[in-house]
Amino acid sequence: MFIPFVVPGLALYVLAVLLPLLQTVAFSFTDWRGVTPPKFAGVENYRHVFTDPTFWSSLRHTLAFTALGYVLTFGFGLFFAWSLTYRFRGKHVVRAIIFLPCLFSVLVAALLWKFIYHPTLGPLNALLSKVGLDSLALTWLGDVRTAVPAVCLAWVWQSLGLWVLLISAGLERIPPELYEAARVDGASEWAVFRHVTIPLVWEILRVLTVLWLIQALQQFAFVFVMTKGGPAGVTEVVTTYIYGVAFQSRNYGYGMALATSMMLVILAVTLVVNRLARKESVEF
Amino acid sequence: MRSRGSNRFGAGIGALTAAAWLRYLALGAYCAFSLAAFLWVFLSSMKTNVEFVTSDPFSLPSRINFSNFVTAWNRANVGRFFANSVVVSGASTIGSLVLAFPTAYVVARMKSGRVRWVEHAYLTGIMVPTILTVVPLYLMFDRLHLVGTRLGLILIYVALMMPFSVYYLAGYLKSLPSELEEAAIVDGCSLSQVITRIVLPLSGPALAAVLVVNFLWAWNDFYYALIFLQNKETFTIPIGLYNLQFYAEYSLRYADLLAGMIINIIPVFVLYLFLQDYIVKGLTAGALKG
Repeated sequence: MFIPFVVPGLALYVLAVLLPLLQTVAFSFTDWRGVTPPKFAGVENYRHVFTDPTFWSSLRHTLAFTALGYVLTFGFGLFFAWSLTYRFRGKHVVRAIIFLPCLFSVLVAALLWKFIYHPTLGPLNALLSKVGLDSLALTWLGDVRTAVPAVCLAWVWQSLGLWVLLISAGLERIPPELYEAARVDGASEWAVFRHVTIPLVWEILRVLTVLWLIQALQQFAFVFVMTKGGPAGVTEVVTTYIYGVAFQSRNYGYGMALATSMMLVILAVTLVVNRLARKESVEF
Repeated sequence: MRSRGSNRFGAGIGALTAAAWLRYLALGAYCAFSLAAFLWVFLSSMKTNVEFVTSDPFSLPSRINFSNFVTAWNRANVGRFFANSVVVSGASTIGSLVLAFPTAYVVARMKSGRVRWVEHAYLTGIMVPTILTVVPLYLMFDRLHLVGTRLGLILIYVALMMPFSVYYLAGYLKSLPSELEEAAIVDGCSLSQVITRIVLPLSGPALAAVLVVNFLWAWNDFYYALIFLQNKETFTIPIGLYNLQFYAEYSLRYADLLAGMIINIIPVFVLYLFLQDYIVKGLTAGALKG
């Protein structure tokens, strides 16, 4: 009786989401290059993945982006969400301004930051030279020392609002009486934050961390738009590498082996983080 | 006992602790930076090409001038990109609601094992790393001659919107009492009549949240547009601007690009202004479903 209501959507969804997941794994064992039909190649692709220096360097960069992005997103996210639990004038405006960038296309945000970092036309270097710090004015995205944090900052700025919102939703669940009780006992603001707020939102932070990691480890757009993996490959992440292998070199089989390997990395990282965070919460 | 809020700010400015100063300073600096960035793009979009390249980045445009928007819209094809974005985002959003709403009703109300199986299939989808599974999707659509077409992109968007839409709508429908529907079925209403005449009119807030979240997602998508669209005729705004960027850098004509960025975010501002609560509710639920 319910079948006609469910089947059209389910068919499209299975065809475009679940089937490609299985195909990615299945075709990763072939030498498919698009022209000839795929031929089974055993574990040849995976042998190649293991010895591919670009895969390992791009994986290192992905992990570096993720680590830096995590510290910034959850550091500022927690701090801003906590600051927004206080009542003050203009709170709604502040909340809206922090939130707005995550409603922008990643492309617009990436272009905006590309302008900010532009060595001659951008406001950042102009500002530095105005305050007499010309020596600090760099080609931010073209310098191997600054490219990774520069791209990371753009990405964190664009996505921060959503995480502030989600962490706020967690903080709002804490009953105010607990804060009162702690303060009556003479706890400092930091002590309240450390010993009341953090333990009580720990479970939510753990869930949000895993959700964030799954997205962050697949980060593509900011690197692709801002640096294309350059300079000298220092910002090349796994997803931009796969894009190049699959859609520029048309080496589909190998691209899917890289993608499958990355899925395993994501699975491993999220499992480990989930496990460590769970252990930690037992201490409280 | 005083409430937490009045305890913290009611004491007045004079009593601000160091921690409070730090909070307001950080929030203020961050917001000031973001506002300055928006304002910079907006002011720069009114400069001429020569002005933008030669003047101080902090100078004001020589006059209030919206001609860049006209040029971008017409000569740089942003108008066409905009129309494509409206078609693709609009059609995929409507498609997702049409397909997800009946599914959500079935998931919310029916208890059979096969329905649970459907629910699990959608819940699985929430965890699929779709960025990494795009290659076989591309090859499949290539064989179906859907690569490079707006229809292909619409189908992909609908498929990707399904898990969240079903999850969110089913959650809402579960919170509605089912007596009215049961009475209608006793009176001889068919399932489709129950869905369209009784449940649909009650589901406005949930539909609005799904509609605006899905629309914004499609409007802003860059990744799938990059892979599945291949020529100017079908480009949506993000991929259109991405290509405009190369032209801007090569010929030092940044005016079209800056104006295009503003054109891209205007509908987002408008939606946020009017549907802020729905966006916030939808995004919060969407992320916390995992």
